[in-house]
Amino acid sequence: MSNALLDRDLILLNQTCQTVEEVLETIAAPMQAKQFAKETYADGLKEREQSFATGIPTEPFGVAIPHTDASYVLESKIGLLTLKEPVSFGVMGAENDQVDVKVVLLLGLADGSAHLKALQTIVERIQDAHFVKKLASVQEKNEALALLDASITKQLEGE
Amino acid sequence: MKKVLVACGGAVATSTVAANKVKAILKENNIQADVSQCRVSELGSKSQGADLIISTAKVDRDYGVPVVHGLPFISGVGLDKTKQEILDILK
Repeated sequence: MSNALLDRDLILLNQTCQTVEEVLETIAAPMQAKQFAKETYADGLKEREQSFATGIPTEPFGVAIPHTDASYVLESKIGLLTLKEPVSFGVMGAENDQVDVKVVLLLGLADGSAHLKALQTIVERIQDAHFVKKLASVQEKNEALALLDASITKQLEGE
Repeated sequence: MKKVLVACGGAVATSTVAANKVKAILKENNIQADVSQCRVSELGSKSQGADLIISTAKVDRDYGVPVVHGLPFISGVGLDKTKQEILDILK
C-alpha cells in the first residue's frame, strides 16, 4: 500500500471495547507508538469527544470520526477501527443523543485544511449505506486498506 | 437577498460541509442568499438580520431567527426533510 495516509497498524478490525474512552485509547495507541502523534494524543481525542461528540447517525449503523487539534499530530494518518459489538457515542451537535457506532474513522491530520478535505470526502462516502456496511464487515487488513484507499485517501492524495 | 448562517461547534469543518450543500440547494431553487459560516459561540454577534440559522451543533439560545438542525447534511439521513424545512423558511 503506497498511500502515505494509510498504515497497516492503524487498521484495527473486530475490536471489543466497552466505552468511548476505550475506543479512543485503542485507536490512538498505534498513532503514539509509531510517533505519528504526540504522547498526549489519546487525551486530546477524549477531550475533544467530550466537548464535541463525533458520532454520526448514518445507516445502517453509526459512524464516529474522532479527531482533535492538528497540533497533536506529527504525521497525517487516517485510521479505521471496527467494533464487534457497537459502542454508544454522543451524536455530533446534540447534547443528549447517543448513536450505536460500529465503524470508527480516525482523522489524524496535521493541518486544518487537510482535516476539512478529509471530512468532506468521508461525509460524502458514509452517506452511502452500502459503503458503511462494507467497512463494518471487512475482515482483512489488506481489504480494509484497499477499500479506504479507493474510497477516501486516493482522492485526498490526488489534490 | 436572504441571509443564512451556517454554524458548528468547534472548528470550521462540519459547517463547511453543510454550507456547501446549502449553497447547492439554494442555487437549485433559484434562491438568492448570502451564506456565511461561524461558530455557535459567535451567533450572538452575527445573527442580527439573518433569515435562517443552520447548525450542526446544538443551539440552546433563542436568537429570534429560525434554526434548522444541519446534521442530515453530514449523515445523509433525513436530508429531504431538512431541505424542505430550509426552502419553506426562505421562500
